[in-house]
Amino acid sequence: MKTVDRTHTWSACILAVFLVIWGVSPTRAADTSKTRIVIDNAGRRVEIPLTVNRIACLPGPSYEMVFMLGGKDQICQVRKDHKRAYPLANLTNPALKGYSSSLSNINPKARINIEEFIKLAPDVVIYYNVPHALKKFREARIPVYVYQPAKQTLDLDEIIEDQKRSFRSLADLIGGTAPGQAEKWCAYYEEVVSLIRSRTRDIPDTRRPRTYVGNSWGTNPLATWGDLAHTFSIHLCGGICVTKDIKGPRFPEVNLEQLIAWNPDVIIMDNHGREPDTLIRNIYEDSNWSVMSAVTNKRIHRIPSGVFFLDKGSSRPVYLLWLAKQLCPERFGDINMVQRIQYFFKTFYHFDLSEEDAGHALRGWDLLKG
Amino acid sequence: MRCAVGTCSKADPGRVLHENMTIRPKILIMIALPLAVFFVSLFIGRLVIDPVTLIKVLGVKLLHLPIEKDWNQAVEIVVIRIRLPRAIMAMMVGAGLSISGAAFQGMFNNPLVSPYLLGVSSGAGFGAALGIILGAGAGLIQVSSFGFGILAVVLTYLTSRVYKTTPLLMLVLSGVIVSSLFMSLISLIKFVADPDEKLPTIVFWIMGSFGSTRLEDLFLTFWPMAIGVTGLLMVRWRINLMSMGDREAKAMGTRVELLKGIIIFCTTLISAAAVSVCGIIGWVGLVIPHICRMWVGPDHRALLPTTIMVGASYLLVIDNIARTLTSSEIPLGILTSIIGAPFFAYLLRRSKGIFN
Amino acid sequence: MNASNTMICIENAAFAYGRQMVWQDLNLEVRKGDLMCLLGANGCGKTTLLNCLHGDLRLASGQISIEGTPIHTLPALDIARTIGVVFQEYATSFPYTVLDVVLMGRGPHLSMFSSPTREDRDIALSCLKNLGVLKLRDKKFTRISGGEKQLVLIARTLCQKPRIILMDEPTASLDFKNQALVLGMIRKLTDLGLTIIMTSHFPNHALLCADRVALMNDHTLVDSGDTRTIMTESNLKKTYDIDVRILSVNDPPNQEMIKFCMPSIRPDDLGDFSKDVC
Repeated sequence: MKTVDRTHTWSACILAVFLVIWGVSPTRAADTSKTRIVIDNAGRRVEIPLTVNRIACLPGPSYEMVFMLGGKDQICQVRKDHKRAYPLANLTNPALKGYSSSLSNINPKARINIEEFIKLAPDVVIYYNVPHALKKFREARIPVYVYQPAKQTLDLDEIIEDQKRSFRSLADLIGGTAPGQAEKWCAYYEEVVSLIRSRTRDIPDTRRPRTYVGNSWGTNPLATWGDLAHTFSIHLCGGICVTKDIKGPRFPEVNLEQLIAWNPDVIIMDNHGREPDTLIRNIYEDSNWSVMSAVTNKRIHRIPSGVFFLDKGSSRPVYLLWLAKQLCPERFGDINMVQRIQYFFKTFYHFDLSEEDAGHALRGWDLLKG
Repeated sequence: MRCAVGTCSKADPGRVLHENMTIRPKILIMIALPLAVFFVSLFIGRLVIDPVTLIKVLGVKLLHLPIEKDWNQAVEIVVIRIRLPRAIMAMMVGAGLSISGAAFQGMFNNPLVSPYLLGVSSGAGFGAALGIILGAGAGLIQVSSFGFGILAVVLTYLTSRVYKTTPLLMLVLSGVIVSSLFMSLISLIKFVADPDEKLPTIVFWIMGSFGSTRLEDLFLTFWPMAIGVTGLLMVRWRINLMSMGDREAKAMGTRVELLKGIIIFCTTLISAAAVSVCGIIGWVGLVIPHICRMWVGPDHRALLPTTIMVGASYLLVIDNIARTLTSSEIPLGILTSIIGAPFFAYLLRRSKGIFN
Repeated sequence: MNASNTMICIENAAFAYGRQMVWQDLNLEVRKGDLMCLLGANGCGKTTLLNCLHGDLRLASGQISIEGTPIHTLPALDIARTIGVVFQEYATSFPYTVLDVVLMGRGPHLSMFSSPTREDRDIALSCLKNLGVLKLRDKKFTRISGGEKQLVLIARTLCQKPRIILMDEPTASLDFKNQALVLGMIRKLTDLGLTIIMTSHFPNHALLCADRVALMNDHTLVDSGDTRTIMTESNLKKTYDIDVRILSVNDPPNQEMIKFCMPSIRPDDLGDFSKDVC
């Protein structure tokens, strides 16, 4: 009987402690009258302060997107790689080096340390769609804007719509001049897509260059991409993606025999790894790859460098132009990529990119030099 | 000493198996099975190759027959430089993991033991993950993986050492400790790894694949495998004694500590080499010795050669499925357990338990 | 007594597991051709003594000599060639055939890297034949009866070609008939000139076949010597702490008197059951 009493006493104590904590925990209840609602990528209603001054950018493209939308002074946190992995990000925003990245570079599946976020006191956190983290943010009453590209996409238009939606809602969140910038960007995106489409629409599948996208992260160029974004982009730009039927993990591996059987005309090597150039050189030197027409015709291309990866975030229109020029050089001979990239940087990043740096970016901007 | 080291162990499998005339067809199957599977493997793949052309290519490339070349260079590369090395690698790894499993099961007198018992796989996995996160090249990742695999077992061995002996229970417990240490180090690397890029590479590596096997890699893997397998074959009769327990083995004139050292050294060479080329492939080292025991009995003189043949054939079949079923590679670790576990359950039920 | 006739000599031996002393002041001599039976209560250290005798355990003090050489100076391989051990349990999970089990006895005569040859196999077969279990050669060891197992393990030890055989309770868990069969076989082994030390829980087994007896209790030897003189009611009482009667009867087939002993059971001395029991 005595133990039961003791248990009750303990429970009561613990309960009391909880109640006290509940009572003193910081709340934003006082601010409710001055909030507004934005709809995030996942379709959630996010309640944020009327003016957002502190944004934590954690998912991959989030820094570049906020930067493009003119919200760079509102950023209070970025991911570690945002600060050091992309030379053009530092070039276009010298202040980036000074941004805090103390909470980042974490595996999104890992547990977050919510106390650190409370200490940071952001007005909103842009975060991955990870339920256990979202729950913690909710308990700490920190608004979270979920950044999550649409997963099941049927076609390119759907992806484009999803991207435009992302930029518009993110612009809402940032406020100020951002919505105008978002509209300008959407218009430019549409213009680029319809330009490319008008020139590639009539190419029959049999005459489209077979294209393979290698993931340069690892040491194995046989790792590729399992999502459909590349498939659609390649199709838009006049090619046909050899891995279009793979439904698997994010980075499925194909074997060399399969690749030889596909015999790609063009190989696109993404810019993710540290040394895509080495990877490309190795492929040219490897006799096993020599039977592929992409190798014999020297058509292995490295994706140019951007503020984030060029094929992601707001720089996608530039990437699509570049890709179209690689896949169908005869149809896009008039497109001057240096001018295009300079135009994009001027218009959307408000940055005068020199001709030399533009060329540099197009060649992938050797990360070691950066 | 009855005979020079090596000479009689080589002449032995035949002799031992000859004792019982009913075993003779088994020897034939044992030799024919891997050869047949190997030959068939060369004919299947994602690139459709006319069988006649394929035989011609093999004739020219392997036997130097004077046949006029009327085929595409791609066919030659696929057959000689992709399918052939990959098949040989799968066979080496299958044979190596199986014989290591059988030797460990005998040594620990426990049929539930796998060749990864002493932590070689988690050590090698850590080595590879470390290489991946530091952005090392393929060769360096393999070396780092091999090195850490060996290091993990050395740590296990030193931890379990008590008064110049290594009691089996201590070995098992130290293996658990070292494994979990390296496992948590792998988790730590996964935790700090870039979620978008490095993490999938590490995970894929650990699940295993022969996808990037090259002709040149074969020799690097061949030597540790050959040394390990030869060593195990030479002591295979002693493993019978070892399975009676330390005290009995010693009473019957076995230098128990030396034998343990030899077995651990050989299995570690083999499994570290295996893990470093193709990741952690589970089940093979556990299931194949069982299947072979059902077939030829527990005597390690017959069992060890049998595991080589059956293990090589089994992993080659699995790898053929992994590389041909879909256009992307299926990680081997997944296939070996998806196919291995139900097959093993079926055999167990059919034989109503292997023992007694 | 001829010194060269002494196979095993134990002098002032003591053994301890850590700080727990098992036995001490132990002196014992075993002559060539003796069949010595070691008797004592459970836990008195009989098996420990056997394990010291083949060098598996080391004495805390004192000395054991095998054919005049201190055992700790003998290489393990020489010990294995001199002394064979029949252990009490077959401790492996693998169902080896009887022939495979017997072949293991060739261990001390083969190098680490070799396997038994045809010659070794013939030796193993003849050992099986000597013990009358040749027909079991291809059976699984785990599937034969307890008595057969014991005979096979003895055959394995013979296969080692030792001069001394140690047996740890060779009759444990055998039925009445098999006990007699195994004891008879052990008795016959001494005809080969082997020296045998066996432990047993049954004083009758000593009376039945042993030349010599050593009795253990209270951490040392109670007494040792010829069976006839040592196996007395008072010695057995000292050994087992109970009253024992020794009886003699005539055994016509052997034309001699045989002795056997019985404990006297006196339930009254054991105290009362608590009333809760029923």
